[in-house]
Amino acid sequence: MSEKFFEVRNLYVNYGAIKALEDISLSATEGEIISLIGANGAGKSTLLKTICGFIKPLKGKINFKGINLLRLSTDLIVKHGITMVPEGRRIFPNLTVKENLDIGGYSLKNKKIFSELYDFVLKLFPRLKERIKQFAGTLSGGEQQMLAIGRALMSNPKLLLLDEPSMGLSPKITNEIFELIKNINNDKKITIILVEQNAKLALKYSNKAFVMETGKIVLSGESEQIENDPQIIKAYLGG
Amino acid sequence: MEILIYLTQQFINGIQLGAVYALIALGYTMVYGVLRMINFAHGDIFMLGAFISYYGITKFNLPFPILILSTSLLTAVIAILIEKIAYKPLRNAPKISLLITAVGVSLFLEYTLSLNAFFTPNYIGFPRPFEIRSYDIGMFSINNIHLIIFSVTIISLALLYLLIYKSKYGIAMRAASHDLEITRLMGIRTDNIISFTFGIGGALAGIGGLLYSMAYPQINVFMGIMPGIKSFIAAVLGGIGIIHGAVLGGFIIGISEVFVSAFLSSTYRDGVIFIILFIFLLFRPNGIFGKNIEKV
Ligand SMILES: Nc1ncnc2c1ncn2[C@@H]1O[C@H](COP(=O)(O)OP(=O)(O)OP(=O)(O)O)[C@@H](O)[C@H]1O
Ligand SMILES: [Mg+2]
Repeated sequence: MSEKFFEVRNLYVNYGAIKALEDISLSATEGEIISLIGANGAGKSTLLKTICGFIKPLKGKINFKGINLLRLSTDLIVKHGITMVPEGRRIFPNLTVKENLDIGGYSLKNKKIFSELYDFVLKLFPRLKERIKQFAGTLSGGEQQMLAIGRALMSNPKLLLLDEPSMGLSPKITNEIFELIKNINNDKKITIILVEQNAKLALKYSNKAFVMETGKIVLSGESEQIENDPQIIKAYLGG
Repeated sequence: MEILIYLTQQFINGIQLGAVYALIALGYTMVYGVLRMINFAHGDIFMLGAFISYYGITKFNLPFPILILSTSLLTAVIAILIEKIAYKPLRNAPKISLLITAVGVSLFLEYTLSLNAFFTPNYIGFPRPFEIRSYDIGMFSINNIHLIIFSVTIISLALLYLLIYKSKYGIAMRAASHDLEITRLMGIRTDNIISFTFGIGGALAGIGGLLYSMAYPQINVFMGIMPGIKSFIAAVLGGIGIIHGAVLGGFIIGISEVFVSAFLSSTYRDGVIFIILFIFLLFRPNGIFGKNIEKV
């Protein structure tokens, strides 16, 4: 069996006595976009938080390029090339846009890579460039989402976890952001795990999809197939 | 005219005391920023700063710049060690455990060091590293101790400003004071940032201890208690967690204290500080610059 780029196997997570994840397994090949779909409280954010080391699981395995992530703390996981754009953006409102990007690249030793990434991010999001000295707390919701993505990109990730990037954004901005995510995936060959409530959107932009319900994966497959199967859509994704 | 000169004179004394409170208050506020804890042992770092400089002067006869550097370096190291030994193991414990531990550390330091084998509980005279020299400017006078305290404070605050607003560590510290979890997600070892914060706070308190002892040249192991409490009040007054709030709060408390002593009686000065805080918090519960403390 060849080694997977990224793999979660038989993962169980509890919050105290509450079961949040039960027997979750999934994997990603390098360069893919994977979507995680499911209703509120299904455990999507919990899964992403566990991958980046915020939460320690009860049991299970998480491997990234042959490295056991469960032995690492968040800062080391990030240094190995995984990062997350968290739910609700969580940019640092008390830092300027520039400082938010700087801190995103905090662990990069190589100045050249740092400035290349910095240029890449500002080219990707010209709106951030115009507001570079502004405090991040004064940005609009969409701009904050761009900043959160830009900040994550600054760490030069190989695997990017995105938790509901469309939350609170207008359809127009949402489309814009998804197109940019697609570009990031293309240009930088960054593998992406995308959590999204809007199943249609998620399926459109991903290669593979996993549907979660109350802490379990109830369906998985090629996004295109799922998208074109009215029965599945009806059964799992509410029409 | 008389009264004006007297006022100005008291104002200078108030700024001098306020500068020391500001230096101590910064440590309370920065530690609160990253850990959401009140480090009750912080006043004792101030006391240690006084004793370390006492030995620096009496035993080693250090030149003043070296004295400041070595005192602040040592108090920084002590503050970091206290954090690593006493607070770090409680990182995931309830905040109240941390608070009680800090009180314990404070009592431990005070009563251990008051043993005869160490500093004893008695007051010792602090040898000033300089002869006092007064300069008459117009109608009031200012002495070299005032001037040294002002300039050391200004330099310390300027360096702190550069560190917090211009350095990589400073950015990380400000990030950590907003969201510790996401700061980790930036690839930052937050334990290092916490140490850094304690170190800076410890260095400033140590400098405060040295400056205070130059102005009031009697030192003792319990000398950190009252200035510690007042500086904590200063930090709350300015808005706990807010850097410039601590500085402003320190000056407000220092100047009020001196004025109460001068115009009422020094018996009331501590009581009045609490009344100021009390009245103030009625109107601005989060302090002068505070917006919302409960940003969980
Ligand atoms: N810190 C916590 N303590 C206790 N229970 C939690 C905690 N965080 C999440 N949960 C519970 O775990 C379950 C999964 O939550 P999670 O946030 O992972 O859901 P989600 O799929 O991301 O939902 P949404 O789409 O609303 O963001 C929920 O039932 C939630 O109430
Ligand atoms: Mg969620």
